[in-house]
Parts: sequence; structure tokens; C-alpha cells
Amino acid sequence: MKKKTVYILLIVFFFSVSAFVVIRYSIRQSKLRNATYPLIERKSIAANTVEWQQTKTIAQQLIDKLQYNTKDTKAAIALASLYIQEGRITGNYMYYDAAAMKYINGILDNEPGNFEALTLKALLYMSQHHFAEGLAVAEKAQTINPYNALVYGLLVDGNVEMGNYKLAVENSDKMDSIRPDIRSYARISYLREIHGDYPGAIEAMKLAVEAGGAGDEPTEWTRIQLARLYENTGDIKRAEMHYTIALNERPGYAYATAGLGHIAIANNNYPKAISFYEKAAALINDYALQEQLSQLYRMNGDAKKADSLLQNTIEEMNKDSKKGEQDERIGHYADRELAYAYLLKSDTKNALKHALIEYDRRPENIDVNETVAWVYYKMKAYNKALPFVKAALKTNCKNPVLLCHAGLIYANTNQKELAKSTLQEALRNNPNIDPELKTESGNVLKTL
Amino acid sequence: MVQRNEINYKPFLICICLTLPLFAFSHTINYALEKAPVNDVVWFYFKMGVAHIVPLGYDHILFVISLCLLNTKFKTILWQATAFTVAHTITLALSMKGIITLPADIVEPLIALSIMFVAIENILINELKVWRVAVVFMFGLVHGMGFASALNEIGLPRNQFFTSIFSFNAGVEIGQIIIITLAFLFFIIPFGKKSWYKKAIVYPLSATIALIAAYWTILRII
Repeated sequence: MKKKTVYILLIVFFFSVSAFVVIRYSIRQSKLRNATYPLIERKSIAANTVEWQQTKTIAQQLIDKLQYNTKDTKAAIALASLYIQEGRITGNYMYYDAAAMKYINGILDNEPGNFEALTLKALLYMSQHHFAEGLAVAEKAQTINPYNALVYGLLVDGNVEMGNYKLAVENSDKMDSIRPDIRSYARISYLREIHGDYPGAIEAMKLAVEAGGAGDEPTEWTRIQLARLYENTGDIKRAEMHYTIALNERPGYAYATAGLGHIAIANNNYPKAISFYEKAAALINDYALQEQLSQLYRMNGDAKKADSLLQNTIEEMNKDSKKGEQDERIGHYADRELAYAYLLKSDTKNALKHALIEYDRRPENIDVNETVAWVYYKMKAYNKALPFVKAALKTNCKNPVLLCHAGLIYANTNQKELAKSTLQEALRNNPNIDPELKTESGNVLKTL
Repeated sequence: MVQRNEINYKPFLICICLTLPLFAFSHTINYALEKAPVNDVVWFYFKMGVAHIVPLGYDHILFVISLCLLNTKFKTILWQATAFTVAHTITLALSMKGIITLPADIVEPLIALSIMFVAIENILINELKVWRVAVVFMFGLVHGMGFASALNEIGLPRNQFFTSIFSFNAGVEIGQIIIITLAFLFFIIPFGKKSWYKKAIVYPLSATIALIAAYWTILRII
């Protein structure tokens, strides 16, 4: 065959493949645009509730309405809200957030200033950990309606995540002044907690629980947060009581089940803890639960099972982040979670990579600074860890895990007095934290 | 009714639609580097640019090697490298500004395909033609969008947008120069003048690169 012919064939081949790539992408996009998102069957007890049957009926009615009239804004907002709530209940954020985002973007294409759509979009961004984008959208929504409590809630969340704590407090006050309810009390509680005021945080979270209807998901989630506060302050009995109440009020609630598993860890009953966490992980798709379960397998001597679950979790997290980018362009930023997962795998190189990616996004956030500090600690780069842990402590947060991390870093950077007082404070009330961290902190404290 | 002499705008509209959805999304913001001194920003993005070619950018490495395989004349390589650089600089800046962007689902297979194209072309032609420079320029535009997606992972500081883009690009250029230098050291200078150079070096190397690129193309399409 002549060279000229081959050359022509090469050009034809090149353009054909290029055209194939472009056309295939266009078809996929068009399919995505026209896709409907039916509700996915819930698992276990959650599948047998009356509320689930009602949710399914409402969702189908809304989907039908939108198929008949794609510009029905009211139905689109209602369906997007339903998807967001369902994502929260089932933990299947990737599917439901993409579904909600499709309808929200559809509304905003026609009405860029639609307040409800903007607030839902901000909520979705936050849910996918795109905090800067979420905050920007919430700020836009606030200019449209500065008298809405929900938008201030979103501003609190966005500012907390971006590390603008002063602004977060101001917005929380504003939210509470407009509408004191379960949402505003829960946010007040969290702000008090990160500013080191545990009694105040507990008091506000109690108000949040009382402000909600027993058995509702938001109320029981708040109750779980109250139990977590008790665990951090060493009041295990009261924490267990609240987890049990949450499970009674909302049978099959994954976070209540996991909470009881956490109590079992405090009692050194790892088989029982594993059983609770296995149940919880089967109920809801939450990577934090899977990480904890993997750690439990390891502590219980089943390293193979632990490694396999951890590897699977890391792969799923990476896959979610990529899948989301292709679908409605939201993509789940899970770099902080990935950093901790890689640490469990002792892969400090990847842990640092992901911790720093998140740090680039949110350099003022205390949790992100703690993550970077802890990764450096695990790499034995104690001097590098120091400025990050100091930044993590800037709000005077008294979280026992953070204090243990800080104390251990101080101890390894020859700040014995500071290390001693920090570790003493961390372990003072015998909080229910990771047993390995507790043991390591206790051992170091003895040497100081 | 469509008249016969009416211009068919459909292909242009498809192209615009593919880039439009991303108009609203400019670059990711790197908040940490917004507070950093200029020197740190320059060094950070420069290192990132170099690393994006050597050692991490296997596809870009193979593309640059392919440019060196057309013939042994320095001028030939310089023309191609310049066309490639100018092109990827344009799309990198435009993509980061959010003015023009293509999704990775399109860019990544096209990058692999471009490597395959130039590698096979090396077997078919010996001399640098204007056509080849135009092709390299076109492929440079695609590679620039690939650089942008890598840069977007880390994000850019808003207050030092051009500094960071320039530093990253400078790093990419150094990476390219390293590859070209290695190509000169390993096969152009020692064997370039040998009668068997084409048959023993250019053809097998180009064929291997084309095969690898074909494999990548399939992998990125699936």
C-alpha cells in the first residue's frame, strides 16, 4: 500500500475516532439531561415504614408532573427537596444529590434568581463538600432574601467549613433571631463546641432535640449529636441512653445503631461493636461507618477483613468523586476522609496528598488543619505538624481527639509542659475516643 | 422549510454546546496559596508544571518524543515544540479562566489519539511540512486543556492567577526541554547520522509509541 493511501486512511481514522468520542459524549449528556431518577428501595426496617410508602407515591406524582410540564418550578423544587431528604436518610448522596442538582439547574437556567433553587443548590454544594461554592451561592441567595432563616443556616455552615468562625457566629445569631428552632439550636451547639464550651453545646443541643418531633430524622440526628457530646465529655451512660432513645423513636436508624457500637468500643466489647457497625453499614452508605468497621476488624485481630474493607472504601470514595464530576458536575470532595482512610492503611504519602488538597481549599478550617497535622505526625515530621495543630486549636476547641493529637505533637517537639497539660485535659473525663489513640496518649502522658 | 443554499450551522452549534456548559465554571480556587508570598507561588506551580511532564506526564512525554522522531534537524524540532507550546499556553489560560473548556471525557481520548497520530506520521513522512506544524498546533490546543484539568485539581490563587499560570507553564516548558535534551542525548546525537537510524530507531520507536497510544485511546474511551 502506498504511503499516501496510508496517510489518508490515518486522517480518516483520526477524524472518525474523534467524531465517535464527541458524539458518544453528546449522547451521554443528552441521556443525562432526559434521565429521571426513580427512588431506590430502602433497606431493612426503613423499607417497611408508612413514611416510605408515602414518599414513593409523592415522588412518582412529582416525576409525572414534571414529565408533563418540564417548567413546573414548584414541582421541581419539591422533587429536589425530596431527593435531598432521601439522600440524607439512605446515605446515597451521590445518586440523590445528582438527581436534585439536575432539577435545580433546570430551574436556575430559566430563573437565575429563584431563591428556593439557590438555597437548595447551596445545600447540595455543601453536601458534596464544595464549601466555597456553596457559600458563594448562599451569599447570592441572602442578597435576594435577607429575612430567611435557612439561608443564614447555610451561611453558618459555609463559613464554618471555610474557617470564617467569626462570621459563622454572626450568622448563627441572625438565624436564631429570625427563627429559633431545631436547626438554629443545633448550629449554636456546634459553634459552642468548637469554641471549647461543652456545657453550653450540650444545653443548646438539648434544646434542638426538644424543638423537633420525636422520630423525625432531623430530631434523631440531633439526638445522636447530643449523645456524641456526652461521649466526648466522658458521660458514656447518658450517651448510651440517647442512642437507645433514638433507636426506639426511629427503628433501624443507622446512626443510632452505630452509636451503640461506639459505646460497645468504650466497654472493650469489640465483637458487639462489630455487630452494631455491620448492621449500621448495611443500612446506610456512609464511608465513616465503613472506616470505623475496618478499624474494629483490625482491633479484633481480623487484619485481612479490615484491609479488604478499607481498600474497598477507598476505591468507592475515589469512584464517587470521579462519577460526580461527570454527572451534573458536582463531584464529592472526599479528600479529608481519604486522608484518614489512607492513614489507616499506613499509606502516608497518599494521606498527605489528599490532606494538602483539602488544605488548599480550606486553609482556615480547624478540622482540615488537624488532618494535615496528624498526617505529618504519622510521618514523624513533628516540626511540620506543629503550625497546623496550632491553627487547629485557634478556636480553643476542646475536642478530646484534637487535644490528644496536639498533646502528642507537643510531646515530640520538646514542649513537655504544654504536652502534659494538653494530654491531661484531653483524657480528664475519660472520653470515649479511639482506644489506640487513648492508649498512646496515656502512655506518653506517663513519661512527661 | 430549510432552503438549499442555507448554511448548516449544526456542527458549529454542537461545538459551542460542548464548551458552553462549562462557561460558568472558572478555575478551582486555591485559598491556601492566596496568602502565600509570590516566590512560594511561583516555585509551587513551576515544580508542578515540571512534574506534570517529568515524571508524571507519560502521555506528554511520548508526544514530545514523537516530535523529536520526525527527523534529526534541530529546526524541525524547534518549530514543532514552539507550535505545541503556543497552542497549549492559549488553551491552558482560556480553560483556567473558564472561557473555553472541554470535558475530560473528550480531551483525554483525544490526547492519546494525537500521540498515535504523530507517531504514525513519523513513519510516513520525513520532512517538516506546514501541515505537520498545524497538526501539532491543533494537538497542542487539546493538550493545554489536559494541563488545565490537572491544574484545576490543585486550583489557583485568585490574586495571583497569571503568576501561577505563567509559572506552571514555565515548568511544563522545562519539562519539555528535559525530554528533548534526553532525546538528543540518547538517540539523535549518537545515531542520528547513521544510515540505519530510521529503520532501527525511528520506525520501531514510533510504532511502539503508536501502539501504547492506541491502547490508551481504547482505555480512555471505554
